[in-house]
Amino acid sequence: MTARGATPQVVLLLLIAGACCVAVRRNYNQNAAVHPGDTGWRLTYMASFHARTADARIHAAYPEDTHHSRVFKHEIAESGLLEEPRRAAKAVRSTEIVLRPPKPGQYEFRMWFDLQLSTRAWPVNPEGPLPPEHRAKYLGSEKGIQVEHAIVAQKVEQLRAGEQSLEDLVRRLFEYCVADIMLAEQSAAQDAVGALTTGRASPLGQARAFVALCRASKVPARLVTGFEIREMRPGSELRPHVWVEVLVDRRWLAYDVENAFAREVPRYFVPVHRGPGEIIHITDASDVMTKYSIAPMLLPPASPPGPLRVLDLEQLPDKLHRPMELLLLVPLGALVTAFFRTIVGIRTFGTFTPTLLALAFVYNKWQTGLPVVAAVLILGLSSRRLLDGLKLLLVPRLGIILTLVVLLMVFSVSVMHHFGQAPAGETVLLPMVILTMLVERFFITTEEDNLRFAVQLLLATAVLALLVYWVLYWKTIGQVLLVYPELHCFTIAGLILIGRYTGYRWTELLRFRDLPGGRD
Amino acid sequence: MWRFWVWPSELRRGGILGINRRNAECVLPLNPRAYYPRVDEKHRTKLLCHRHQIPVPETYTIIRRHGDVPKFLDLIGRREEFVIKPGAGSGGRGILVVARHDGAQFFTAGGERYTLADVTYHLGAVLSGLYSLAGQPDCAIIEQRMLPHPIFAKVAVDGTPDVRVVLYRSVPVMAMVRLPTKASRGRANLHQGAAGAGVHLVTGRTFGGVCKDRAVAQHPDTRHSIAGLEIPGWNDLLSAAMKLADAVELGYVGVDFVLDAQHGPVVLEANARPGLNIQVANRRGLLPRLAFVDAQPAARLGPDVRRELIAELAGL
Repeated sequence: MTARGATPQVVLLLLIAGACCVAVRRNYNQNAAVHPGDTGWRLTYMASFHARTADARIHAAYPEDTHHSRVFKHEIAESGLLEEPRRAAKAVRSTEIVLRPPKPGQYEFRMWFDLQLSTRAWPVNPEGPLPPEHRAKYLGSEKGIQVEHAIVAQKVEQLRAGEQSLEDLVRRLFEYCVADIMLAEQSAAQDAVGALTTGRASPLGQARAFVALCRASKVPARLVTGFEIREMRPGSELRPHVWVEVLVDRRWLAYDVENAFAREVPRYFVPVHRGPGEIIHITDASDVMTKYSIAPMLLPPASPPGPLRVLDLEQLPDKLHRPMELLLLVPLGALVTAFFRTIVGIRTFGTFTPTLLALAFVYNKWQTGLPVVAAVLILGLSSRRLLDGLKLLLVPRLGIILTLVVLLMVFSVSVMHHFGQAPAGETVLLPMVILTMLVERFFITTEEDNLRFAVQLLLATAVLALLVYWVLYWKTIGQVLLVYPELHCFTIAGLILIGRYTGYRWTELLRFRDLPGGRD
Repeated sequence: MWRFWVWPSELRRGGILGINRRNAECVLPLNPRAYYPRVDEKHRTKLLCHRHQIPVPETYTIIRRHGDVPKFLDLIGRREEFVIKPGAGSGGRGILVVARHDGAQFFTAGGERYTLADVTYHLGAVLSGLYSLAGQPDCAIIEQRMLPHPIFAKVAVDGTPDVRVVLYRSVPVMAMVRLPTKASRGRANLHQGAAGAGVHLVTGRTFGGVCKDRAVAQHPDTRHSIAGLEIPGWNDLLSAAMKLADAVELGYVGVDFVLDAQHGPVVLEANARPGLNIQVANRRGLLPRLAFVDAQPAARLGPDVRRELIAELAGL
């Protein structure tokens, strides 16, 4: 097969390889990886009870995975209880662990869930459309939520003022519950009617009042019981927290009346159980005691152990991230350069001089870098002209220009400092050698060809450097490349395509403009 | 009609070879990298020329070390006129033509004056690689100065015109004369502002013309027509070009000749990536001619018979 014939296959192969690598890594990252800023927590359930018969059952709701939290491990301490196959709880989306005693008697158990909280979002299967029987359930009365009660209807009537959207109505009901039902101690009203009548309620009463108002307005609503996964005051006890989910436009929106969070709750809210009932529910038992606690824990290592770890660039220390990102952006600079040289046909001083210049600028504010480069070029060129009189050999002459360039840069920094500009410490990273060569080549070109051509090359170099700078400055792209370095398969594919381009350069459309007409 | 640009389709219709296509389809497949030194290093080209009895300017000396620079006057044996050339230069850069000197003052053909210090500095710069293709340390060739043939007297300013022949698979496919101008400062390089005129491959007569990428009919400085000049010794020149193309074993090569008043066509250098302006000078595209050569059976491309192709080629 000829090289030309193989090109599409090679490009296709690279594209497929790149896409596959990205997919595999993405899948891996989503399922296992721990990202910077992620935190680990151990949620513990403890309970003791006396099983009256062997038919006693312990239903423990399992913390639900959300966009920002998931259980990566759970364990049940040996307690003599037997575990029944895990199954979906009757309440939507929750699962529960069911234990049973082998015989009647006193039991105590402890189970824990290791959770990872992340600032990044994992995909979560969306909840399907609400089946009619569930809809009826989320619109009807239940314990503590007396939808048909007169006071509920009266409050809804009061709050439903004129034409308003469903969402506005929910917002008004929510604001009413937040502002007009005073939060009182746990022993205050626990139910909707009590809360609405007295204007004082426990957190549960408040939430139930909001659910009742929503349901009476024909908006499906449900209670959610879960935990706030965050550091606790020493000695305090973790209590389940109750909030509300309301179905608006086929989406369940979360409202927390107690903390006045509307439409969504913070990512450390982890739902455990939906609908009526408790997190740990024990049947056929007496002397039931339940207790919960939360403690921070270390997450398992972020990367796979062993040699595969080197493939994960995110495991590098933070301070290395930006330089690594820059390095990974350089091939894009090469891509831009290749495009401009091969397809546009622009000539510059040195093939990768623009890329290297741009790379140096990324470390600086261009507002400070540009004047420094301009000053170095102008002064460098004028001293190069003076130097010409000395008739020095090439390498020593370059050495002198390099020295001058360094001195100019150092004093430029000093001048900027004098004028209150804070030059970036990395200004010194401006590529002195590149600038030196630029000075020399510019000078030689003015001598060998002419000033016009030299200025043309310099401008082309500057324009290309700016374009590459713009690419390098694209932090998001750098971050993405750090996570998925295999994306450079696409870069290579692009370079191959440019490398096989045999069409006319754009500049040739100008250069040969006299030709076709000249054919006679 | 004055136009600012042309469409790619027009260039394709005109059979114009673009630089990308030249590189991908001529230079890369036909010019093995290993043979490049045969043309990039001028003294190697000269050795090949000697071996194949192709006329070249006589080499007086080759300076390879900075230590030899002060001795260069002794090395050239007090010759009146000479040319200093970088051993691996390109585009006519770094070439110094000395028409007369007295050991302290050196005068170029254009009348510019250089001191001995200037000349030794220039030699040092050449050795340091200032003009070499890759910036590598180079050598300086000091060779015989060719006297331009009087036929070009009215269309060359301040320098020596040369004739370039582009050969594809050792068949001459296009030729032009390159005429120095004031803008090119005596150098025969189109890119630096020299003028060019196409040369008919059969008759050796010039026609058309180009200067700074624009079609011209007259020399920009002397205003003399650059068309209708007949190049003396044209057949010898084509034979030498074909012999050299065979010797360097490059499938796409440009050979530059200078027409000496006494010796006739003499090879100056060869180039593995000859420029494409020759098409503007000839007002013809190269592609139909390359396709014509590709379409020939191997038997017609042999050293003795390929000359017959030229007449057919010239009409394309």
